[in-house]
Amino acid sequence: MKSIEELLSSLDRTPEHVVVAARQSFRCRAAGDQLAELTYDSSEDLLGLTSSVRGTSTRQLCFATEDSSVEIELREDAQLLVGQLIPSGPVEIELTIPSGSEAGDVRWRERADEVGRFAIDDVPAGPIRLRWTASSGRQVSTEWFRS
Amino acid sequence: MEPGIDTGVLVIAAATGDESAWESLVDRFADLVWSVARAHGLDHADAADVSQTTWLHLAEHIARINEPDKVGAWLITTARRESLRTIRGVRRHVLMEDSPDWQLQDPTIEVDERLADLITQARVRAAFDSLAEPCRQLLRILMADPPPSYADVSEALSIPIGSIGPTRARCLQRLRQLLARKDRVEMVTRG
Repeated sequence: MKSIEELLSSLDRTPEHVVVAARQSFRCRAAGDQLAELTYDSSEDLLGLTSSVRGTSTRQLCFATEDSSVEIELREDAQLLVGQLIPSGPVEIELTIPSGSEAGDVRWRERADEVGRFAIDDVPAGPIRLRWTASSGRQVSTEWFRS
Repeated sequence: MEPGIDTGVLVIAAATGDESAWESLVDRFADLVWSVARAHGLDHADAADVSQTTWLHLAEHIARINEPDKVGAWLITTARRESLRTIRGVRRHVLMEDSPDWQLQDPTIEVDERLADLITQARVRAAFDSLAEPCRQLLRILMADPPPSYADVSEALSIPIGSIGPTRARCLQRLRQLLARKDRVEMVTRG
């Protein structure tokens, strides 16, 4: 007869693919890049919650380093990501997803317009990150976030 | 896994790029992270995303973990934050039934035995689901294999370390009562 603890723990083991993804995470580090950290996420404040209750379902995020940042709007229905780089400039920006290879796989790459705006259609589900070259010439990566 | 090596030592080694230290950390804490996501009621697909995002964050921040020996608490806190984000409306996966557990089990087990197991599991699961939220979360997190330290759980869930043991015992007792009550109901309906 199994104990109640044994019965409980047998209900739900971690799937193997989840463990594999955790191992691979180590190779997805953007080593050498400047890391733009999450400074605002509307899903974490009450105002963001209210707007999603009204059905607009737009989420705002901001990632920043000391001298560079990106503001993002995610529109859930269209799986659309609209962004604004600050300082603005027509730099190349890419979206990556995690993979077993170094720093992840690039899924989208384009140049922002003259005022630093860009838009990405069909944003993949699951963790993603943005990467661009700052005016200082350094590569900047955002933290991983989920669309 | 290398159970002998101190967690803090593994964190510091991984921070310098030691991939095998990282893998030992994953072996030690993968189930804990999964448990936290599942403790928030997420389905398999969302829990998988929360888990991956949590480990990606750790990989990125590992060189800046203030207290390497408390990385378990750091992981619980991060997985909780990602779980809450998911609940608050990050794009959810299209709801699907979780794959039934029996598909993953050894196909050579006799059908009768498997059925009996399934019925027991379903009863335990139903009783577990009817526990109050704080009990479910605490039990679910303590169920991780290997179990997290009480110090990590205390730090991450902001509950006094001395109350974890008694609360756990009280929750398990409640679970036993729920199971016993269900047994009585079944006997009545059958009779």
